[in-house]
Amino acid sequence: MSRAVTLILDSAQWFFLFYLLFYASYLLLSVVMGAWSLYRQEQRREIKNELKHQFYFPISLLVPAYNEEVTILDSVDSLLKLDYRLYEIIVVDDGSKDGTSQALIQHFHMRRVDRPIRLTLPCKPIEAVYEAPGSRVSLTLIRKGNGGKGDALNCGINAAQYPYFICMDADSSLQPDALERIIQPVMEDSNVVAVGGLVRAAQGIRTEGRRERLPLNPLAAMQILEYERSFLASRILLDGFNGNLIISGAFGLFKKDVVVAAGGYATDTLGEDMELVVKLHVYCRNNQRPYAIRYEPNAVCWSQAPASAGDLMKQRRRWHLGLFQCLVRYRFMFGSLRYGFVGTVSYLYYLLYELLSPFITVLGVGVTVLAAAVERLNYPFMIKFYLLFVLYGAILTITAFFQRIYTQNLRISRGDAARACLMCVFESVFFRFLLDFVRITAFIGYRKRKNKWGEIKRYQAP
Amino acid sequence: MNLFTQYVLYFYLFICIVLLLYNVHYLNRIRRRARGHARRKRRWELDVWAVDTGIVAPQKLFWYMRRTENLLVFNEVMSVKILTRPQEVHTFFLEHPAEFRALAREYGRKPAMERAFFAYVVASYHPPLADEYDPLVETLLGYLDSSTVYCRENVLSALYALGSCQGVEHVYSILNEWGWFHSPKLLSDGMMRFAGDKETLVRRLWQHRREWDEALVTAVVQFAAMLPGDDFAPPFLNALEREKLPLELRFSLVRYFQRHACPQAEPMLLRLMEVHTGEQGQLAIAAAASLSAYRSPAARQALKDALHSRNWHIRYNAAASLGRLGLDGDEVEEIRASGDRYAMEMLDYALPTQPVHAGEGACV
Repeated sequence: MSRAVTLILDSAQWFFLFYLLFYASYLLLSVVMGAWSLYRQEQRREIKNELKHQFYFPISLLVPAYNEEVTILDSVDSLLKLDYRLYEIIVVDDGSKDGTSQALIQHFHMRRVDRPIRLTLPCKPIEAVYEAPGSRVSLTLIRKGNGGKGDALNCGINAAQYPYFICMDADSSLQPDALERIIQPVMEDSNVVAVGGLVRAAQGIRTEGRRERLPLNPLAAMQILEYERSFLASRILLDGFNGNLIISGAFGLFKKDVVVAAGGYATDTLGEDMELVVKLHVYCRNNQRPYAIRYEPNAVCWSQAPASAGDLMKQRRRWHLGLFQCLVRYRFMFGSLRYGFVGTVSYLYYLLYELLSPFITVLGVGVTVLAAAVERLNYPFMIKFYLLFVLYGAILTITAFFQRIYTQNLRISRGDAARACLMCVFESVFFRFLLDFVRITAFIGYRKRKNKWGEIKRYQAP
Repeated sequence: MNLFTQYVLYFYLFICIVLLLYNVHYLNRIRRRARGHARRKRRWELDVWAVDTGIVAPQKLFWYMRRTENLLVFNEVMSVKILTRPQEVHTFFLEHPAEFRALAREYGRKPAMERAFFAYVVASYHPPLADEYDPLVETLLGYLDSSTVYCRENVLSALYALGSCQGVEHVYSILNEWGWFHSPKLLSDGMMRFAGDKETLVRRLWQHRREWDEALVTAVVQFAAMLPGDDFAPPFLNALEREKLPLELRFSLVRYFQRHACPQAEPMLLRLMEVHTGEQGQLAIAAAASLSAYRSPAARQALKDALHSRNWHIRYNAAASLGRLGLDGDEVEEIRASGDRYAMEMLDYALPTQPVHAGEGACV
């Protein structure tokens, strides 16, 4: 065996050891911190440490819609029933080819108006504005040329009347108290410029009273568990250091004047939600403006998770390319002391453990094959190591999942609890590698498809 | 290397086991707590009734309440009772003031979360005080040391419920002195629950306008705007005209005169409408909205002129105000004849009769 191969294998051994050691420690820390934070929050709520009022700040709900004919009526209907005193709904039809606008116009008896809209952010030309007369909540529909989600949101920001806006997906619905919850960090601290809510997979999941049910579709169930882990653990940890780089496009609250000052949503990226958050970090730090970007796990949004492998792959491809575009665009943050925790720890985490992790997995497989070829592979150790890795990942996911169940006083049947445990193992064994495969192949044809979203099949609520 | 790796593996295996045990332990703890809570609640329902009927000494009840879990159950029992028999709940507190004060002092020694909860109990069930100087107020003010935003909010709520002007004034002074942020929205809405004389409260707080942070005074003005009657129009107008006040506060004062129209304020509002740029321009935006409450020809003319402003918000508010005041056909034609497309766009939207686009949408 040549010295070069030995050197490669020895170096790889140390690299992977420390890479996994850091990852395992990070996961542990995030789950423990997440669990502690949730416990404290629930305790606070139990003994009435809340800012409970009848009226908070008025909010504009922005719903960009592209070919959402199937789900848009249910979404808007549910948004009209939220427990909040003053808010408006602005649906922006981003040049849909189906009957999205027509469905809304007919259902809500909307009429066309000549509403003056101040173009503080650039967006594609507005074709028509409609309003629904006589409803308690002001409902506006804006029809415009197709320009992507970021462009539609910029248009919605231009039309928004209130100082705070929420961006959400047209196929999502909000828990009735979601607005009251998501505004709480703003009431606590005037420097808060953005708040992310908890996005949960709605497809197939049923919450009957305080009883939680897992969906039968294993793909949806595994996504639920994955959402739980990433939202409840990782985001809470980063939140503690004002270091979150992502607020999901499915549910986030923003201070309008700061977003406008920072330049609004980017229209040339697939990850406009992450881009905006990073942009806000950069804007506030460059202008030495005190700010906080917070995460509120009690504000819940239900979003349709892809139910088929094909749709899931499209979604994850988009997410991964969005992450890549964002990290490349803001590469100047990396290691810069001006950006503090965000430019160092957060950026490094997203770079190493999100963007590059599938490639590192492939590298690991390659090294294993090489070690086997030169007969330096310790098979019993490898199997033991892999099993421990699976067990560790699964137990952390189980802890994150059950922690939320306990702290929110939900109940789950024994059957569903057992299935959740089983799914956590499957998630560690199969799902993770499927996602790694998608993320690696996302770059195939990147130049041609870098701004295409890919359509995901929508299902009407039963 | 191998030995080190083995140690790492065993360490993480140990963590796995600890996490599993933690999950099982937590599940059991939740179940035990739920059972204990239900048991305590049943006992407390009996005890409160027993105190009412003189079977149990109130001291015993207050002794129990020193533990937060018991106060939690007490709160649950009272939350039902206050809906059906509020007088009895109030009597319960009025008949045992010494015990309650002792309990308040006891909670003053606990962490901020528990203090906040005790203040919540006071806010929810304690009747207003007959006397402004009550030791309970002093104790509650002590809760603000090393407090959280929730504790401050609950203490304020308790002082509103007790109707203590002096207490509220004191809290505002502390907020100002320590530079603690408390949302003006929470402050102004919270004061609506003040059980004492609201006008007196505004007068006392308004006196501090030059010492306090603008956010606190703005909250006072916003609260005053929600009160019926125009009692505060003269002092507010005086301050707006003669004093050098921060922009946000002046903005609130201008808006006050929308809800409380007074003829003396009109010349000042018209003056504000003359400059549309800089800081003054910000006030012109509020003045354009406030003038919707003034029907004089001068106000109408100022609003019509404002339709041609370069400031989008002034144009928008002026059009909305004219929409509320109503314009006759000649006035609309006059604006149309000016050839200002932007002014007409605003006005078209603001006027009650929107042009309907044939074949578009389903008009009602």
